[in-house]
Amino acid sequence: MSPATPLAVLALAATVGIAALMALTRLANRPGRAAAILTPMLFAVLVLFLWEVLTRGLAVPQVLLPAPSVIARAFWNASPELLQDVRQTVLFAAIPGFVCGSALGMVTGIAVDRSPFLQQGLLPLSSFASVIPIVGVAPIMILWFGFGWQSKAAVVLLITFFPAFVNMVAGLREASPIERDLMASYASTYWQTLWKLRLPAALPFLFTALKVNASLALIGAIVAEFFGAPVYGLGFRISAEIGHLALDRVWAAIAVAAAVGSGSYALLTAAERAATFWHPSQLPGSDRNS
Amino acid sequence: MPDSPHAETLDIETTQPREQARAAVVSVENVAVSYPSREGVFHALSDVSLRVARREFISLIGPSGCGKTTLLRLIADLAQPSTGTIRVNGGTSRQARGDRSYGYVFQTPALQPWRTALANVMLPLEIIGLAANERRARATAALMAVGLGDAASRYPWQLSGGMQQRVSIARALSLRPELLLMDEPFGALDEITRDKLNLHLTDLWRDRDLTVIFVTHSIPEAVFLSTRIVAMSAKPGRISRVIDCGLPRRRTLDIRNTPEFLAISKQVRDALSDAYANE
Repeated sequence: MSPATPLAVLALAATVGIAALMALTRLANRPGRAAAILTPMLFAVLVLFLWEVLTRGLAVPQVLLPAPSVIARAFWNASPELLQDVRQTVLFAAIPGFVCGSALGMVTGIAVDRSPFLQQGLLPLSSFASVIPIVGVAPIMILWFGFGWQSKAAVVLLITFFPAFVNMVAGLREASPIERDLMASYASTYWQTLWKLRLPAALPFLFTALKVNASLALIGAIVAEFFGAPVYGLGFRISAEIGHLALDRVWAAIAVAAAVGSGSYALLTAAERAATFWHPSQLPGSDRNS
Repeated sequence: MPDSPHAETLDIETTQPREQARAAVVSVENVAVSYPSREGVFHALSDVSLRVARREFISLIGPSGCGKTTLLRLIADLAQPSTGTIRVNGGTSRQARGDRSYGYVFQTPALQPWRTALANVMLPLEIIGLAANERRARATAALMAVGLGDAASRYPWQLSGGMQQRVSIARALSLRPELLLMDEPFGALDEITRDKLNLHLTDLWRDRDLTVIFVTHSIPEAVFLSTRIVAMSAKPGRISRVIDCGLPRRRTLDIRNTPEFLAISKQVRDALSDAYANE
């Protein structure tokens, strides 16, 4: 490769990049749904294109950064294994841990709200527990629950507990004194007030917790696999393929994890919009991007 | 609201027969509320006594800090007196709350934004465990009574402030209470809307034989609505004067230009300026 080639590649990439960005800016400023959907998609295509051109044109070593096409081929070739990895990491570790951790956190939040004793005893303890690093806990969980998905689910449960817990405690304080007096004037029971006023009012907080927990669960499950796992799982795949310097496969596994992560986030955002359509942040005319 | 055919029979003099006066809907006797504060003991209410007979419309009026909202909350069993007794319908205020024998209208509409107007009115009916079809029928009727029949499926944020407060009145009426406790319900509304709702409220009170205890800052509002006006003063919160308001039960807005109306307004104003002089 002549010394002129990298310069030519850079020049080409810069020209295409700037031209495309200018076109995208004009598109983004146009009103309407089509522009709102097209802009990020075209932007992603542009990023992939530049990535491809730069890695190939500058002959970047595969170990440092493989081209998107190389990653795509690795993904295609390894797709049966990756599917099994997703099953292991997401279905057996992340989701059960997420569900149990979030549910346990919310139930504990209600219990703490109900009992002043727990409020004084458990609240400081749980904020202490929240700063425990998962990398420290993961080996212990493996010691306790073995190499299988159980230990990973336990790690996920531990790290998703706290966001659910604090958001439930904060959310239960959302209902105003007047709204509570109103329920009291109906001689409403504790559970009726909880169900018909305080939990609905807490929903925006709970969805915040769930969205935080969705990404925490995935990260937790993947990192926990670094410390020992059966021969599949996204975390296992990443650490094993790094050892073989098969970086295209590592990137393929990362891409799959990212896809799962943003998919779950999108799902939760849609659920949030449906459940808290009444909240000022969801009403038309509020500061929503797009 | 159209007048009911037998409205004339209700249109009697405001002075209550003796038997009815004795069977007080609300009786407050020597009630005091005090709590410790930084500057010593704060007397929110001191030695307050008041009897409210059936079909009376009582306004509590006075400077802020005179304890008028506190008095309303005591009657509703949303707060407890330090000393003294409160009887509602012959029983304790706790029993009255348990029997859902009053409707409370707050300063703000306090509608649940996730419920439509109709669903908001159905909320108390859900709490008392009424069947779904009965809930719907009663809530629809209550919304019609405040003139919001066609806003049933709208959400609170799609309604104006005046409409929201009417929904909250419909919600209080849906339990069919004989006693209505209202804490400055129209304080945040503009004058014209307030006039409209006052007219509406006086019709409801007369046609449904309601007993109303109403907290307000406005002298014309108090005189227009009430059969008796309780002027209160602050530090300590207490009743300074009770003014009878002998206007006919059937009232229209132009009653405000009559000499009687102006005379009563002056009495209230004098009582209040004494109360404010103590500040």
